[in-house]
Amino acid sequence: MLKFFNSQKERDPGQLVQVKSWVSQAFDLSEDVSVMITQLQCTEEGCPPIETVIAIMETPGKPRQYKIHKPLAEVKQTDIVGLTVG
Amino acid sequence: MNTTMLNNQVPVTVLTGFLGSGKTTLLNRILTENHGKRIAVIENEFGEIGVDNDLVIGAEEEIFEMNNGCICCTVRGDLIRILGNLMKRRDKFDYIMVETTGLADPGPVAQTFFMDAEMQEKLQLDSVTTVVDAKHIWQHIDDSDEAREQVAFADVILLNKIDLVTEGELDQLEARIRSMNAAAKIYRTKNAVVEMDKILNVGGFDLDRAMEVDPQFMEPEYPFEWAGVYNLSESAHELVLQEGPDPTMKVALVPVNESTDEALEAAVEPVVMVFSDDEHELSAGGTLQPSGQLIALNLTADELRFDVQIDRPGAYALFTEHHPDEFQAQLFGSGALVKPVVEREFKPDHEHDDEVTSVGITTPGDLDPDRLNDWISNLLRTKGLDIFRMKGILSIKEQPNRFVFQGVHMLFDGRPDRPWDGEPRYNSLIFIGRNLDRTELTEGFEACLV
Repeated sequence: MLKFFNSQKERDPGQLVQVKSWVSQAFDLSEDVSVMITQLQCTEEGCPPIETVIAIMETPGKPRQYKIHKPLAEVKQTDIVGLTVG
Repeated sequence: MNTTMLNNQVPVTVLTGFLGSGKTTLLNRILTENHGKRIAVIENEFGEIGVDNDLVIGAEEEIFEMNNGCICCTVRGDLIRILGNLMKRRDKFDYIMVETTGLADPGPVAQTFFMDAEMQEKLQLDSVTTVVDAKHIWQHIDDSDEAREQVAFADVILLNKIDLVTEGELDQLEARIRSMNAAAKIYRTKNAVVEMDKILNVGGFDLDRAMEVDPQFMEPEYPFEWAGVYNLSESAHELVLQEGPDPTMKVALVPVNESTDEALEAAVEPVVMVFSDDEHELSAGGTLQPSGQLIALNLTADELRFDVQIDRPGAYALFTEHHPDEFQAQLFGSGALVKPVVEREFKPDHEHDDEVTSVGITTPGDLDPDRLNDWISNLLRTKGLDIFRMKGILSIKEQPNRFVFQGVHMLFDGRPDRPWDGEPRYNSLIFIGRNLDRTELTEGFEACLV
């Protein structure tokens, strides 16, 4: 089946909630702060085939954006903690 | 694709339209109608207030761009925040309406529902509904990107304030809108009065319903908009026109075997060739003959009358570049009106290149997944900014189920659908966007067929 077509749909709602919770915890976010997580795919040579993009929508107009060069399903808590020290 | 009832996703309607189009009238109507739904409204002008059982929450347009090497998309940061907070009160409503400002670009709003993984799980974009002021839209449709995009993105379009324009003007407007967005459902309204089931839970993103497209849209494009077959005697005839939108109109008059649809159909392809020939200009007062030549009627005189010379009685087909109604064109024989026995309208091909148009592709056969993958990846990377919406049903080689997809700019959502179950396998796609090259899209797609 189509790799491109399937990639956006290979989502695990449990993992999504888990990663959002790691983000809130690692960045010490209040409950009101929205965290957006999506997977972007790239087919160009040299680009990671799929990456997880995390946007923290804390200050209006100034979202903080982070990328992890792996699919959401493979994101670990250490990856998230790593973002806070970068 | 419409899985609202199955997994408890909240349906969302995005309401767009220029200031004064009647958008707020429609919203108020939706809020006061007895449809039994508790609606949360997100709009730009107000703070958070309660309207009976409904929630109204203010939003400030905040565009947020995300990109990597291949994909660039803009989403509405304000919407993400508001929707995120709204979903914490999920038990308070069962429908969401997002009202945008008159000048809002619907692209980032629609992309927001495709971008965030959690939002895709919990919300279902039901439709983009655009309210159009039937009288004043002409001031914007040619020079406002926002007006064109609001029409292009729509699943449902209300032509509102129809009491301020004539039936002919409405037909002209509807034809123009249809040429931009062939997939939208169009309703004509006064004071935004429309049945709620035309607006709420319409399943604009439900592929089976979305693909119920005007069959004319799936036809190839022609260099003429109309043809009619007349039974003409040897007597003198006259073609009479009024001033219209263009100073000339190309026509071709050809003999056909009989006055039937089949005879008209048989004449179409040869006349397409005639329309690719050099044209012969004919001024008012001149004589039109069934010569099989391309004639450009000069329509700049005060009296637009052309003699029609028929040497042998029989059936004759007149093909016209524009619809005769645009010039009130009529044929007279011995002073009496002669009506066509059969007539047919054609999809025109003379839109300007930079206009918003729809391209539909329908073809039987199975697709090679690898080739399709490469083609669509490349297409979205190179043309995604110009592709506002795309939807389709695909037949993938060796897959028992239909594959349905839709996209907004570079974002794409596809999934296996119900089984084909013996039904003839086919592919049907629609692209709506700017600068779309019909030939390139069609050839690119057909190259993916096994």
